[in-house]
Amino acid sequence: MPDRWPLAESEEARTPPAPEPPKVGPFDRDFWRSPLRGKWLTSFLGSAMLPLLIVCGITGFLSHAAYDPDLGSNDITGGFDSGFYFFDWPTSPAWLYSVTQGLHVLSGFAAIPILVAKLWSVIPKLFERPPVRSMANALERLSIATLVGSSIFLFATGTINITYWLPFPFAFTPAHYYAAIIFVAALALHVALKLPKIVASFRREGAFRPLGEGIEMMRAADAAEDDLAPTNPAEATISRRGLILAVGAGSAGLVGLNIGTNLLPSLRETSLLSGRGQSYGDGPNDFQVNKTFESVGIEESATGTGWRLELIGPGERMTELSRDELLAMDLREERLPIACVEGWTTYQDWTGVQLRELAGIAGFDGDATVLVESLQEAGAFRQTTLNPGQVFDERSLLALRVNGADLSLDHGFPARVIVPALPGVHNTKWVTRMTFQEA
Amino acid sequence: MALPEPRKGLDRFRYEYGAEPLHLLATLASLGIFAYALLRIFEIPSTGGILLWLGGAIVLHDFIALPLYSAFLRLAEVGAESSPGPRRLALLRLNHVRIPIAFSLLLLLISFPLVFQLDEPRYMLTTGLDLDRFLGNWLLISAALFIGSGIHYALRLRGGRARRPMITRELRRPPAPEPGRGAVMVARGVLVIGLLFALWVAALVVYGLLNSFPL
Repeated sequence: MPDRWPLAESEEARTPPAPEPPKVGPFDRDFWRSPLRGKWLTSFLGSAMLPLLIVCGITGFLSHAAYDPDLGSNDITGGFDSGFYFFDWPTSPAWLYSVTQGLHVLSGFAAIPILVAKLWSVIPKLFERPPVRSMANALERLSIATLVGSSIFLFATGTINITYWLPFPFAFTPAHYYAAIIFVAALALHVALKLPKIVASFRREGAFRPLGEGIEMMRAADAAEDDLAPTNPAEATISRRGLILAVGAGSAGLVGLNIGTNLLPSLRETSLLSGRGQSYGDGPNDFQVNKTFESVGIEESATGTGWRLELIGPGERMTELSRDELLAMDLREERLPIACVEGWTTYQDWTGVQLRELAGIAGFDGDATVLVESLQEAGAFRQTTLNPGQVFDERSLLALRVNGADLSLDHGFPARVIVPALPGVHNTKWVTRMTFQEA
Repeated sequence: MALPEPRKGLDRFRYEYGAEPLHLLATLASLGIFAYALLRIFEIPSTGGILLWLGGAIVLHDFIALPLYSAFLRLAEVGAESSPGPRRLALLRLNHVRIPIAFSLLLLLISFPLVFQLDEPRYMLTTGLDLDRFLGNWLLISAALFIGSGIHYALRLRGGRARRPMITRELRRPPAPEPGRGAVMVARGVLVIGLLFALWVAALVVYGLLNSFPL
């Protein structure tokens, strides 16, 4: 570490004339009596949480990239930042989105107990006196306010979203996305400002040594040197080690209760408290449904023998194909996942016509995007635009059958798109029209 | 007596601002990104409410949730410490009760919309399944946590290490004076609210059991 941390606070600073709260209740340092609090505990909890937050953040922004927001109307965050995502989402490996999004949800869950403990460990600082030591301190406290607010907001909206409850009046996606931007900005500053304190604390007490102290050996930190330490500590009722083990067990438990739907789908039924942990049965169409046929308001007759797939090529040239004609074409079978943004995945065997063959019929054999439209009349995901890599990958199919049987209505009969590494909702169901365009 | 030298340049900046110049740069950059995000939020109709929820998150946690759970933990500790018998055993009992409760509540926190079936129609329209199993699953897991904790407690007692007398550390200062009347009233109020909440949950559980879980 450099001698003087380039972002250090000054020892002498002008204190702005802010009113000082009276030394009563939580504003009196004697009020905070837990002997566990101190720089080491906070540093340890923060350091444990940081890798999880980094994984969560990166996979979160990758998820946005996976939607190819610069294509068509794929962007559901308001359409502003799509220029930042200048690359086409790849199709290899097929499990890419499944893993990034599974990690996003699992790292988020793992961070929750640590976040609760960390906020508990620093709450005395909310009431510190004087409320602003300097201009620098005032700005830092503002940033921390955005950090705390955005982190709780992110975890709350994230966990609520996957329970299919909708208590908020705003759309989930832009809210979660912009709160994430606020969070990353505040977190980066927080880590930069606190790094010397963390390093000093670990150097002095050892990063892991206090974990060896049971309840009798453990001492409260010195309040003269440590602004988080209690000035009037009570006797400990649990050691720091005990608290950290409990927090760790909480994280492990949350991961364990969700990994069955995310990264280990063969263990799906262990996810006892996940909305996606239930089994549908043993049949070929018995797997996770997202949006039942009933919910999308399509007339069942529209999916009957009169259904035609419209392929539109250059110059508005249109070809119509019936389901029988599609079934008579070269069919290919692929085992591909449906990976939802909610974090769950399901692998199935799909049979259908290659998208590249349909592109060929429409008049394209290379660089083309496709706008896929559904019989579904309304809703953000009634249409999707796929990038050229996705259209021409040999595994990308317009699926007609799954696991050997015809698709059920809930799974998109008469036809649905299935593309490797594509987010679940972009694998459009009840496809009616595909418009190919020069890329 | 000579006047102190007036601060110059960088020293002056450090005094007026309170930190190194890079601190200001970094803070402004971070708050600038915050301002950008706010700009975007307000450009999308109906998302302005997000700010209220961001602030509400702080209020809900710092001024409601944290004081509530801290008060409960403190009450439990006071209960344990005032019980007769060796301190070590009392603390063992305390931790073997409060940690499973904490886990159980944590699980409820992340799954309460499913457990209490807050929007079953939406769940059914989306997935085609129902929410009947979740209350039962949560209760089962909670029961398993308590049983596991009980087994662990019993094992620790068998070792005999649990009955050693505890070396209590000298406190650094004499204990604080009795809490003021205001604090006692607030603590009692919190306790009453907590008891009412617990009674409501218990009633829900009993009702669910009597009706085989659908609520």
